[in-house]
Amino acid sequence: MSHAQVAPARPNRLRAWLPFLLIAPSVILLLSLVLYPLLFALKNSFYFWNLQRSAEPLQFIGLANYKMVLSGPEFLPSLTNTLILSVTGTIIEFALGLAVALLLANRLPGMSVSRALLILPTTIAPVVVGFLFRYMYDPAGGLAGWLLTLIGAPPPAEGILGSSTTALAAILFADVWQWTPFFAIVLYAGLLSVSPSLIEAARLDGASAWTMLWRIKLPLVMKTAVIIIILRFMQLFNTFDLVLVLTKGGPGLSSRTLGYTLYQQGLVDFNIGLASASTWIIVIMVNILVTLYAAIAFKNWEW
Amino acid sequence: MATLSIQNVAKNYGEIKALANVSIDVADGEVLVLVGPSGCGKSTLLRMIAGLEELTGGQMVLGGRDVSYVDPKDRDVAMVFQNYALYPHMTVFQNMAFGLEQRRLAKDVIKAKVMDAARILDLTHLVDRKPGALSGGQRQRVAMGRAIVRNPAIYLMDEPLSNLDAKLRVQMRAELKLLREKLGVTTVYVTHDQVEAMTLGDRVAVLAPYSDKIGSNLQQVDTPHKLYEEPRNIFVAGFIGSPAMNFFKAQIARKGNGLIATIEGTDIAFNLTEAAHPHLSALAGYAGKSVVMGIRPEFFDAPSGAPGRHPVDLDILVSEIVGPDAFLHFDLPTPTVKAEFSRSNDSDEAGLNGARFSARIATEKLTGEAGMISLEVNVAKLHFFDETSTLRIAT
Repeated sequence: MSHAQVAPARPNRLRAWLPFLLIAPSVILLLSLVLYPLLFALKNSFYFWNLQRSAEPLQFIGLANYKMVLSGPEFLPSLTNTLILSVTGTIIEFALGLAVALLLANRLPGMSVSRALLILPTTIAPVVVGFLFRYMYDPAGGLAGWLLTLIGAPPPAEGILGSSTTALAAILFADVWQWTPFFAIVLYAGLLSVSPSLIEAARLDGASAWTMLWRIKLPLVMKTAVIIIILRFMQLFNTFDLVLVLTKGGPGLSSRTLGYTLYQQGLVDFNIGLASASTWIIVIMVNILVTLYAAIAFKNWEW
Repeated sequence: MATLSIQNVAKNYGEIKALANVSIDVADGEVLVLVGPSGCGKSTLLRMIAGLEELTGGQMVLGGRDVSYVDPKDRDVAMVFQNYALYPHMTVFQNMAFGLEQRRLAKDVIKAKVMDAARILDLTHLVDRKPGALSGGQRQRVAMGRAIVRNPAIYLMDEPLSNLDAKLRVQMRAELKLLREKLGVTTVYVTHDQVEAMTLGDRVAVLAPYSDKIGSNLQQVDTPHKLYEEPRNIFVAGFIGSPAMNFFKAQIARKGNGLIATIEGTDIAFNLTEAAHPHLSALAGYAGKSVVMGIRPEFFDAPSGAPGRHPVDLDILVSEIVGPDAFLHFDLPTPTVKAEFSRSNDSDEAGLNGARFSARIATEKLTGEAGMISLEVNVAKLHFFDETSTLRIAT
C-alpha cells in the first residue's frame, strides 16, 4: 500500500513541470537571441562606444546618440526611402500577387507548372538576387537597359543604378520580382480555402466578377492577407542586402535605407553606441507602425 | 413564381453518364422533391436547374423561358445550400441584403424586404450578428431568408435540413411546410430522407443511379401517396417506406378462380382472389412462373382473424421496440432477391439462413420478443413485380 502512495508522486512532479520543460528551449533561445541583444543595445545606446577607439564603452552620454541619429544628414533621406520602399513594395507585391493568385485559381492549362516555377525567385538568397539584377542593370550591356531602350524609355546615361532618379526604383523592382510570388502562393492557398458553395451562392445572388472579388473573395482571404502584409512590411522596412549589393545607398543618399545606415554606423564606422541608438529608433518606429496597422486590420475580426 | 419544365436533361462527365433522359414538369407553386440514394444525380439535377452545372443534353424551361444556357445570375432562382453557404464576414442582415444589392434596389426597399423576411423567420433580433455567432437552426433560417427576400421564380433546396440534429430537423421540417404554405412559391427540394420527401413534397421524383436497362435516372414521379401505394418498380418500392419493403421470390399458380403465390423454399402461400385484387388478370399471365412479391413490414399484424388476412407463423430472431411500434426481424429459407433489383438501402441485409425480413406491428400487440410468433399478412396489400423488367404488375 505504501509504495502505491509514494510511486505516483514522481510522475506527478514531472507532469507539473513538463509544460515549462517543453517551452524552455524556445524561451531560452528567444531570451538569448532577441531580448539580450536588444537590452544590450539599449544600454549601449546611452554610451559613447566606438570600436576603433576602444573595446569597451567609453562614457555614458545620455541621449546624445539619439540626438545625433535624428539630426544626422542621412536620417531623414533614409527614413523617406525606407518608407517609400516598404509601403509601395508591400502594396505592389500584394496587388500583383493577388492578380497572379486569381489567375492560378482558374484551372487554365499549364497552371500546375507555373505554380511550381513561381516559387523559385523566393527561394534565392536576396544577395544573389542583388547580383543578378546588378548584371541586368549594368549600363554596359545589361538586359534591363537594352529592354528599356527597346520600348522607347532609355535609362539615364549614368545607368539605372547610377542615377538618383532610378536607383531606388531599381531596388524596389528587384524586391518585387523576388517577393511577388510569395504573396501569390499564400493568397492562392487562401483562395483555395474559400468554400466553393460561397462562390456559387454569390453567383446565384447575381454578383458580378468584380463584386465577387471585392465583397466575397477578398474579405475571405483577408485574414491571410493581413498577416503576410505585416510580415513583408517588416522585412521591407529592414531592407539592407539588396541596397548593399546594388547601390550601397547611392548615388548620394538617393537609395539609402535605414537598414543600410545602421550597417554603415555599426559595421563600417564601428560606432556601436550610434548604431544601437539607430536600432532602437527603428524598433520603436516599426512597433508603432505595426500596432497602428494591427489596430485597424484586426478590428471587427470576430468571425 | 413560375413553372419549370425539365426536358430530357442529360449530364455526362466524360464517359460517365451521371444523368440521362430526365423529364419532369413542375407546376406553378408546386413543391417537387427529388429523392434517391447517393449517386443518383439528384443534387446534380438541382444544380443544373440553378445553372451551376452545364447541361450536356436536353432543355431547362423556367417560366416559359428556355434557360438551358443562361447564366445562374440571370435565371431568377434562389438556392438554399446544404452547408447554408452564408457569407461569414457579413451580418445576417448583409447576408440577406447581398442579393438585393446586386439587383440595385433602393436602400430603404432592401431594408424593408430584409426586415420582412427576418420577421417571417423570427430572425429580427439576430440581424446584426454574424453567422459564426448563430446556432445551426438559426443559420438554416438565415439561408432560407436569403432565398425568400429575393422573391425568385423558383426555390432550390439542396438537403437543407441534413446538417441539423434529429430533433431540430423535425421542427424545421414543420416550419418549412408552414413557410411554403405562406409563400406558395415553386420549389425543387433535394433530400435523401424519405420522410422529408413524403411530408414536404406535393409530388416526389425518385431517382436512381443511371443504368442502361431503364435508360433514365428517373424511376417515378408521383404524389407521395401514389408512390407508396403503387410503386412503379422494385427500386421505388424498396426505396419508399421504412423499414424497407420485404421482397420474396414467389411462384404463381392457378387455384380455382384465383391464384396462389407461394414463397419459394417455404410453405407460405397466399390465396389471391378477385375480391381483394380487382386486376388479377395481369398476374394470371405469370401462372407457372415466378415473380417478385413485396410485403411492406407494416402490413404484418397480430392475428385478428379479419377477412383477407393470411396467418403466418414466423421464427422471430430479434425485436426492436421503438415506442409504439416494434420491428420484428426474421429469416426465411428463401433465395434473396438480388440487391441490384431493390437497392433499397446501402446494405444488403442477407441473413445466414436465406434472407432476412422485417415486420412492423404495434408494440402493445406483441406477444413475445423472439421465437415463434403468430402473425397475419394483409393479402390485399401484397405487391407483385416482374422479375426481369422489375416493373410492378398491377393487381
